[in-house]
Amino acid sequence: MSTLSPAVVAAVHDLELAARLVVEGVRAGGHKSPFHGYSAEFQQHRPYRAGDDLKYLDWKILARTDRLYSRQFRETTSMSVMIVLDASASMVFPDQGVSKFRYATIVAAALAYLIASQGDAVGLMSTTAGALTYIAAKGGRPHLRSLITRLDRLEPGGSWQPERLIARGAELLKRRGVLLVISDFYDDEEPTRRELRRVASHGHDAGMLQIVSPDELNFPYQGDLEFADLESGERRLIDASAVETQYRAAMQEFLERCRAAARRDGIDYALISTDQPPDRALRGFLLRRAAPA
Amino acid sequence: MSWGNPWAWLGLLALGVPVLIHLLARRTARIQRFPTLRFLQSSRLLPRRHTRLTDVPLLIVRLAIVAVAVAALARPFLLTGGRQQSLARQLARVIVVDTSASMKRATASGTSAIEVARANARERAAEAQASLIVESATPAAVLPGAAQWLSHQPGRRELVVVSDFQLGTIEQADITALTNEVGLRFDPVAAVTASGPIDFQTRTGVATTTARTSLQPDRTDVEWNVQATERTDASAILQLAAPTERVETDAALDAALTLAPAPSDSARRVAIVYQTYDRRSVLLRDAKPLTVRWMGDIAAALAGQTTIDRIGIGSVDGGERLLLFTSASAGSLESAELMIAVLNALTPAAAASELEPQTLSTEVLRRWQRVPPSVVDHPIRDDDASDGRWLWALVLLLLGVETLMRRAQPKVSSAASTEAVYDRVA
Repeated sequence: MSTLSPAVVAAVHDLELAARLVVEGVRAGGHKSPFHGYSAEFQQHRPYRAGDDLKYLDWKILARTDRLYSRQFRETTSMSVMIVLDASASMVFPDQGVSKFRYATIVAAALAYLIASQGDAVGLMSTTAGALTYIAAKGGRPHLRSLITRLDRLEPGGSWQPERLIARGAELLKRRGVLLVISDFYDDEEPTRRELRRVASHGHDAGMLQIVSPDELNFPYQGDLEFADLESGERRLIDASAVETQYRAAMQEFLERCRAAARRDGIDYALISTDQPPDRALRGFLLRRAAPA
Repeated sequence: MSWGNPWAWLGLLALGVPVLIHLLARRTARIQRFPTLRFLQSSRLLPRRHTRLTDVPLLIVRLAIVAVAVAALARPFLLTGGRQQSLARQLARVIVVDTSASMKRATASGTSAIEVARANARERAAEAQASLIVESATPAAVLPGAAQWLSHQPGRRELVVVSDFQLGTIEQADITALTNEVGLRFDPVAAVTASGPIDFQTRTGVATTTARTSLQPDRTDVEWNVQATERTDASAILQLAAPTERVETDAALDAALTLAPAPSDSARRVAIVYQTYDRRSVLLRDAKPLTVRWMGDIAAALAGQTTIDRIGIGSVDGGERLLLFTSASAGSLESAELMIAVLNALTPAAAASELEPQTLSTEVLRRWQRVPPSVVDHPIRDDDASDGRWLWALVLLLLGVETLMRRAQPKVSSAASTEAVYDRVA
């Protein structure tokens, strides 16, 4: 099992290298690909027509029979994966150490690296301060590199509307594909869930990676504090010791709700805490995908 | 426990500072940025902290730091058993030697009482670690000063009086005025009480009068004997007047010498300047203020003389003299009277009581005596190492504790519970 700590991985400035480190950890176990692609398969011959690509000309038949035939294949493209990344201000937490956003970026980069290295196509969608970042799903190393560069340049901030991004991402995944949403899912629960359900019902494969920090789970605060909402900026004076129990219960209930909804709608779900080694978290998620439902 | 710098206790007023810090600090709540307030309900939070102290243990530690630092500044000195023993071995003594006239009498061995007293004093001084020998004709007068000096000495303290203890040398009031921290010891010097008759001799310029006094059981017999002597040298007194008045001035001096003792110490020279003296104004101008002790004594003795205009030091015939500028005319009765006063001042007559002293009984002296008490306090001097250094070390330790307490304050996060939550949900 890998011993990559989140802090170590986050400390690697080159995101591609960080992604590779994580993927090496994921692969260490050796398992079959969790993404079901479509291999190119020969279907039939047909008489050559002017304009056909000469690379599909069947030279052996030409040699034997002196006739021109083109080879035809069934599906030649691979599976497409669209990663929808939450870059809203709520992801910039905690202030010290590995933030949820940095962790999510590493996970996204590792997923992209893994997908691209299997020959599948990978794309990215995110919004930063209201501007949409979109990279169409494609395969190949140069594409992966540019995707990781864009990922690295993302500046988190503002709020986002996950349901709109999910709907748009599903549209842009022309064929049947995989849509992975990496977020804390603190935004409107119902629209997000509805949109994910719709994506799943359209035949896409949907996945939720919920990123939380240990401080959100444990609420280690004491005394009177003025809590400031990272997205809205709203402030509330709270006696942390008094609300601790109530907060934990509410948070637990929320996470349980997310998990239950995902299971009901047939969506892959993983809760990832930022103090977990990213490769271990990813491996857990992928193994569950690979296992028969 | 004694304190070298008790004023430092005023520093305890600084105890208010940590309390103020605790009351004033953290009046505003710390701002904590958090991803979402969805799961946080506002709690009832009232403005209450102004009167309530928080972090009582921390406050106590801070108060302790201030208190210990103040105590260290007060330079404590703890009298431990060992120190007390070493102090008890130390002895400080003041030896007062009586030098009154009665001490000039002889002792049984033949030496004078004062010599014996001085030898005794040196012996007593050698026994003590710190000692001071004071010679005085009035021992009672110097006792308070001696006690004052002793109070600044470490160890046990003792006051020793070496005297023949003539009645009146020391009285009960002098003893009670002394602090109890000082031991008292009286060393009587046994001067021989004259068995035979005592001669009381007075010498004037022209005659010597001897009064032979003998103590009889029921009376005192006095036998007077007057003997003419040669005219003594009276150059100690010089009269400066007009040359024509020579006869008058000599006659006045002769008259004075028949009544007053002849000057015995030729080093003490006086000049009486009459108004008729031609250089009087020059002498007046050059006269210097008195600096010699015997001249001061004479000036004090002449305080009642109304004919003296001014007193000063001047140089006459190549020698320094005490100059008395007088308004009396040469050869007058006033001038003779003035010279008698000067002669008496030059040779003070011994009091007859000193020759026939009554002494305090040894029983009284024994009752007044007391041993030096054991050491209860210790005067801290600058060269003493106070115990404050241990307190400073304690201050450093407390500062460390305070820092640790401040660092350790909030933030208790347990990774285990994170794992638990994760496992439950995943």
